[in-house]
Amino acid sequence: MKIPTEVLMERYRDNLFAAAFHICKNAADADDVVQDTFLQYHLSEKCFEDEQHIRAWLLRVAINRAKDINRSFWRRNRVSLDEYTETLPFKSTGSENLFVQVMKLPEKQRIVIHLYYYEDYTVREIAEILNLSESNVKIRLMRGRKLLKQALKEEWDDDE
Amino acid sequence: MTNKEKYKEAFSVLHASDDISLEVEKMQKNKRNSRRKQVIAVCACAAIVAGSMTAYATDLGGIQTRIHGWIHGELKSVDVTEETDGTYTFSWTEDGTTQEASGGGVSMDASGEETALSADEVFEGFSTSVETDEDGTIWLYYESHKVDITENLSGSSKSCKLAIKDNGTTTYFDIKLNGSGGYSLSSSDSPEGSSDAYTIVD
Repeated sequence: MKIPTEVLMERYRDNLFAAAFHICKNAADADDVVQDTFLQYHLSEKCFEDEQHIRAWLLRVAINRAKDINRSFWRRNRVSLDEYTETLPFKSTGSENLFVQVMKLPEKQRIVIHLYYYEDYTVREIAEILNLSESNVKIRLMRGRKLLKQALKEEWDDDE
Repeated sequence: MTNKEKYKEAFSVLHASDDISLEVEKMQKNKRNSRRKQVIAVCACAAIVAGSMTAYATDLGGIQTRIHGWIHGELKSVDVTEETDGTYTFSWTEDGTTQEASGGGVSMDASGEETALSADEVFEGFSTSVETDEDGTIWLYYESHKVDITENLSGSSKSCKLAIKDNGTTTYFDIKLNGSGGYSLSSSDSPEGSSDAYTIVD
């Protein structure tokens, strides 16, 4: 099956942006990732099983694209994460603290944490998207949670 | 609230830019602009560069070549070194000091296959830029042109449409400052809509 690109853009653009932002930590780069990812989908002749398959594929492409940009390029007019964070309309200081602390996590842990807590993927699904072993995902998840707990204390619950 | 609820609330503030087009045709056009942005260099020094167009390249032996192109409105001789990771390092002299920048990029063909950009293509990425001086003056650099566009961007929309005529051809620019302090810029040899909407600048 293939869902029209425009329909997917309406549904998942913010999801891809958030995932890309976790890698790039820069809104302009994340926007480029979103555009590139949907263009790649539009040009792809790949046949998908269902919408969840498409969603996982989009996230995988976006994450890989973001990693490419992160590895290879530096943007002029780059806006610092602090400056950008100040423009975000957080609902509470707790939310802002969580955002800031997540952004301080190592990239490998950050994207795993995001896929688990924001996208509601299971460890097995995250392993497939990131092409990692399940044990590797569990380790990154555990280390990320531990760092968040240390930084946020009572604002972050112990969970599995 | 559970951790997941807290997390979702915290990151619900992230939204993709409205500049991302939902129309596929425009998306493909934006892709070209995006590619240009992606080839912007990894700057090892503080200099921000803008240049354009390889006039010619001279083989200096090994993998280093020399090209001539526009940087900050001046024609410069630029040494190019191909790095092992597929990126290129460009070095030139400006204001008596050696400046350096490097970068690489990929292009995507109709089937979605990615190809590494050549040094010429990467350097073309420097061809047009918008930069803000310390005093707040906003400059558009395009080949030999250095245009003060501060007034053009002073309206409430923070955007402008400009046209530059050069050697009998006209290049059309759509420039928009975004809320995070950066800008989006696209250029084309044909206007989007009526050419009357474009301000001709020198």
